[in-house]
Amino acid sequence: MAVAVQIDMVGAKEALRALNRIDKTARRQVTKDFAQIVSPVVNEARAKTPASPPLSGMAHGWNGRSGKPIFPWNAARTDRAIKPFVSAKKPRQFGQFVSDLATFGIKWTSADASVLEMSGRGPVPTMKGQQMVRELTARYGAPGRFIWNAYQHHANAVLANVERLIRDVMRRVEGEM
Amino acid sequence: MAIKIPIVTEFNGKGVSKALKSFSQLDSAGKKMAFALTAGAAGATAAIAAVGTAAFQAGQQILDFTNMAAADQKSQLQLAQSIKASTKATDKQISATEDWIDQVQRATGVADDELRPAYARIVRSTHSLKKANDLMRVSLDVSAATGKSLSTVVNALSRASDGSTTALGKLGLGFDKAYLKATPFDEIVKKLNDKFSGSALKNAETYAGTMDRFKIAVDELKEGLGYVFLPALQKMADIGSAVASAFGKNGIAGAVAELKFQLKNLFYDENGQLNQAGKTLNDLIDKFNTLKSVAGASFLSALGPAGAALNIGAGKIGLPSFGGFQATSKLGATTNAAQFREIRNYSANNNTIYIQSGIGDPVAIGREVFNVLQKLERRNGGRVTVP
Repeated sequence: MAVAVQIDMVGAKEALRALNRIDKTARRQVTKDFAQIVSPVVNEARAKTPASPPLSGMAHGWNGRSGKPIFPWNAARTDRAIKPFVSAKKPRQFGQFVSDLATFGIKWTSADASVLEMSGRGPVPTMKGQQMVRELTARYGAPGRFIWNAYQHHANAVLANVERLIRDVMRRVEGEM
Repeated sequence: MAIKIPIVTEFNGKGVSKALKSFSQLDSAGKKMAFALTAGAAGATAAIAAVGTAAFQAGQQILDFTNMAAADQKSQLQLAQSIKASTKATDKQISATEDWIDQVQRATGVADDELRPAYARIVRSTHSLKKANDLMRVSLDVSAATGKSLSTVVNALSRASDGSTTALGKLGLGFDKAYLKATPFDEIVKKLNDKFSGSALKNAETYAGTMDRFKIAVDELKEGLGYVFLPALQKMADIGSAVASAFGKNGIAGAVAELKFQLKNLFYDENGQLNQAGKTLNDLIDKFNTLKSVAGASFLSALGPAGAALNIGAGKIGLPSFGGFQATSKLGATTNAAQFREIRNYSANNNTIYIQSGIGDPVAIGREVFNVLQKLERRNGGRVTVP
C-alpha cells in the first residue's frame, strides 16, 4: 500500500472547540468548507463503488458474526455512507489504544465497507475467502480499493486546502477574541 | 465496520508526557540527574558522541562527587541530631565536634563516614561530648591495635558503658569475664588506654596508613567539589526537565541545544558574570592544582577516572567545555553576555515547534498552529509524510 499522507499536529481540536464556543455558525461552516474541500475524493469514491453487487454473491443476504446484515448490496446506501467528518472530541485512552485522534478526515460507515475496501489486507484463512479476495482484487484493485485510492489522487490538493481552512479558522478565532 | 481516513490528526504526546511524569516523580535531585544521564546515554548516543565522551564522563564523575557531598551532609546532620538528642550541646560545640572528627580522620586515616556513626553511638551511651571524645580515642587505638573494625569496638565499649560487658569480653582484649564484671567501666577504659595508647597514630604512620590519609585528603576534595555542585544539582533537576521537554519537542538536536544552554547557565549569571558556584569552583581548582603540584601524578591516579575526566593539569575542565565554552585553568570571570542572551533567546524560541497541550487561549493556539504548519512545510518541502 502507498504511504499515508496526513498532518500530525497539536491544538487543532482545542481550536475547533474554542471556535464552537465563540461562534457556532462559524464552526458549522468549517464542517461545510471541509466537505467542499474533500468533495472530489468523496465523489470519486462514490463513483468507483459499483451500481450492481460487486460480486454476484453479494446480491444475497449475509449476516456478520453479531447477526447484523452486511449484504445484500445496496448501492445508494453504500454511497451515502461515504462522507467527510470533522471531530473536536478529546482523544481518549483505552490501554495502549488512543481513540479520537483524527480531527479532519473521510469515513465510510456502512457495514460492507471493510469487506469491499480492505479484504485481503490481512491473512485470509478460508478457501472461499481467498476466492473472494482474488475476485475483488481482479475487478477493483488491491486493498484500499475505493476511498483510499480516491484520496491518494487528490491528497496534495486536499492537504493544501485543509491548511488554508485551518488558517482561516485561526484568523476567525483571533478576530473574534 | 467503518473505515476512517484521517487527514489531520492530533499529535499524541502521551509517551513524552509519561516520561516527563515519571521523571518528576523521582524523589531526589540526584536520581533525577542520574535518570537524565541514563536516558541520554540510552537514547542519544549520537548526540553524546557529538558533544564529547570525555565531557559526558566528567559529568558522571561530578555526579558521583555530588552524591559523596550529599552523603557527607546527611551524615553530618545525623550526627548533629544524635548529639542534640543525647546531650545539651550547643551548635558551637557540635560544630567543634565536626572539626575534631575532621582532624581525627586526617591524622588516623579513618574516614569521617565511619567516625560519625561511631561517635553518635558513643554519645548515645555516654551523654557527654568529653567522655565521647575520650572513648573515641580509646576505640580508635583498640581498633588499630587489634584489627577489629571501629564499629565493633565502639559498640562493645558503648554497651560496656551501659553496663553490659559481654561484647567487650568477646573482643579478645585479655580481660576475663569476672574481671569485667567486677571492675568499674572507667577503670577498664584506663587499662585499655594504658595498653593500646598511640596505636592509631602509629598505624597512621605506616605505608597503608599514609595511603589511607592521602585517600581521605582526596575524598575531602572530591566532596568539596561535590558541595559546589550540590545546589547546582537541584538546578540540574530542573535542567533535566527542560532537556526532556526539549527532546519531546525538537528531538535530540533540541535536547542537546537545551543542555548546552542550561549547563552554561550553571556557572554564570544572566549578565555573563561568574555566579557563586562558579567562584567556588575556581577556588577548588586552585586547591586541586596546589595538591597536584605537591603530590604529582599520584594525585591524578588517586582521583581515578575523575583525574582524566577533569584534566585540570592540562588546563581544561570537562563539564564547562560540555556547556559550549572553553575554560582554561579556571573559569573566566565573565563570558560573552550578548552571546549568552542570544543563545537563551534561541533556546526559548526553539521550543515552539509543537503547541504545549493544556494551552487554553485560542489566540495562542491559532498562532502556534500557524507556526507548526509553517515549520512543517519548511522542514518537509511542503508536506508531512507519516509512514
